[in-house]
Amino acid sequence: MILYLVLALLFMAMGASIAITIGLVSILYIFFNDIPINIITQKLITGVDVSALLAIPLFILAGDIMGKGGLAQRIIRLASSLIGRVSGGLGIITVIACMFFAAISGSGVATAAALGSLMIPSMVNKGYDKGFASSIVATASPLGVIIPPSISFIIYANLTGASVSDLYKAGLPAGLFVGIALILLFYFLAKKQGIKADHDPFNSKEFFTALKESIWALGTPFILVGGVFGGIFTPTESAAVAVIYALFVSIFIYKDLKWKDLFPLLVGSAKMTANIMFIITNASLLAWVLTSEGIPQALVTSLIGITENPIALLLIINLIILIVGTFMETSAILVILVPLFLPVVTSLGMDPVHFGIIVTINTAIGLVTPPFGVCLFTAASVGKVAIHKLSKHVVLPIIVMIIVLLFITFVPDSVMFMVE
Amino acid sequence: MSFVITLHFYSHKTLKGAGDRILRILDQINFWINKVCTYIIGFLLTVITVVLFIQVVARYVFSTGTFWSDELARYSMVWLVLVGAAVAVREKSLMNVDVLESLFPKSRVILNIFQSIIILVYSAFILYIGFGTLELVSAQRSPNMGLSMSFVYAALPVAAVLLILHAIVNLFYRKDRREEVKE
Repeated sequence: MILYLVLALLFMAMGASIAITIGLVSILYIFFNDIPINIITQKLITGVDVSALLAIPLFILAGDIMGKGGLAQRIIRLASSLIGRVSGGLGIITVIACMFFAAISGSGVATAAALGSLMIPSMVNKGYDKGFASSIVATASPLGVIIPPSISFIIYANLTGASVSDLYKAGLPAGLFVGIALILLFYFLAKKQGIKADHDPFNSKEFFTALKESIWALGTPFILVGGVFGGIFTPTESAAVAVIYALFVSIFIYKDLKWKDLFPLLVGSAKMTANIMFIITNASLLAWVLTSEGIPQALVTSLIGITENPIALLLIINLIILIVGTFMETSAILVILVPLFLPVVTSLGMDPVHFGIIVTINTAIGLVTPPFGVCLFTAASVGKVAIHKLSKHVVLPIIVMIIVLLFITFVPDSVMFMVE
Repeated sequence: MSFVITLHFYSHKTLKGAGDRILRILDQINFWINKVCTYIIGFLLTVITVVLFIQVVARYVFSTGTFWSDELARYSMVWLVLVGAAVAVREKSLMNVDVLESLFPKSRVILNIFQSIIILVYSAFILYIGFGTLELVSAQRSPNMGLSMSFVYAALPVAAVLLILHAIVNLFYRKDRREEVKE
């Protein structure tokens, strides 16, 4: 098995598609080990033929409609009107806007692309260092995978049978913790760099105008998160309602989206869906191979062989996921690693929901970690900074995120207080 | 759209000879196949959205279930993902790690050949196994709509053929289509 995994790493390093590499090594393994080959087609179909995963295309579509239909811009304006005259005000607005945007799209890359092009130039205008401004977007955009609604939670729930609404309830405080920690860090960094209060003072008139303008837009996160929290909708239902609602608002109320733009938008969302879910279905084939080879059990034995101390074990698991997270795609990590580690953590008495939050924060950190973090790349290209320059600026935020991660790992109640 | 078409014809100038003529025709065919595929995936996403919205309305407004909606949406998603994967190969947008390419731009030609070969090998396996499975599942029917499962499983060999067609063109077209515009 090790040979096949080395082969996979080699293929990926040479730029072969992640999905196809994962699928191909699984197929080769099945062929050379006399496993009935029809399992391949069966797993590739059943990997996506899942009711719970229907939420994914709808989340992506809702996010795209919000972006193109002017809903996202109005929410950002509201976030901007909330912050008064403080050091690093624009940086703080960027983090808050990322958190709002996250509550819509659930995709870190989409958030980095949308907010980066908007916020980085305006921060640079106010005297922010280009690298610093881009690092704010790079590190705040992955909040999208932690704050519900999140594609990662849908995938995790499908893998483990954990309740999605419990994951939402634990994910919201977790996302807020990371967000607040980043806000505090950027506030002090801005102060240290001597960036003056760069934003207009708080103006209640502007706030109420922005609120009035964005009230329709706020309906979407309300449906997506509130509908599931309140137990009214399943995540898929909430997403279907949110898509139709966002469409209605952007065409008939804001009138920012034209009918003729609708089909190209749908095709764009469909491409994104296929790209993510093609990885999921190939990863589910690999996960099946790993499980049928008894890798999870072997891993439990060998990990517990190293140490029986739960704290040390959790540290090791976090470290492994962090390292894998720097060079693997988020949904692939979930589909492949969660079935491997779940038996270990449940034997330690950990709640699967709690573990879900930990894995998700780990993958969020992976999205900004050099050299392969996609949010890092997106922020660098939108902000027009060299990767190595941006990498220096993300070190401190990453350390802060890791500290929050460890805090959440060892103090479960910090995020689990809403889960019954 | 006119932009895409001019770009498309421009790339033909790099091709000469008889083998290249076949490739040129294949590329032309793939161009139209891909166009149809993008319409198909856009349509399938529309189906998923509308069907699931109808399901919600039926449940909350009319308090009735719709026995077909979940199945129809799921099978649409299966086709969307597999046909969409082929579109992504044509547009070279499948997610990958491109660090090596950006560090050593000169290695791009060799890496692209390697990447296309990986896709070809994968698709050949899927095509071979996919046809075999098709016979196995032909007697099965979906629990709610009574649809033959062949309709669902046919997505794999169809996608494999599309992937092979696109990968062959990608393999022999050494240049990136976008780059040629810049020159």
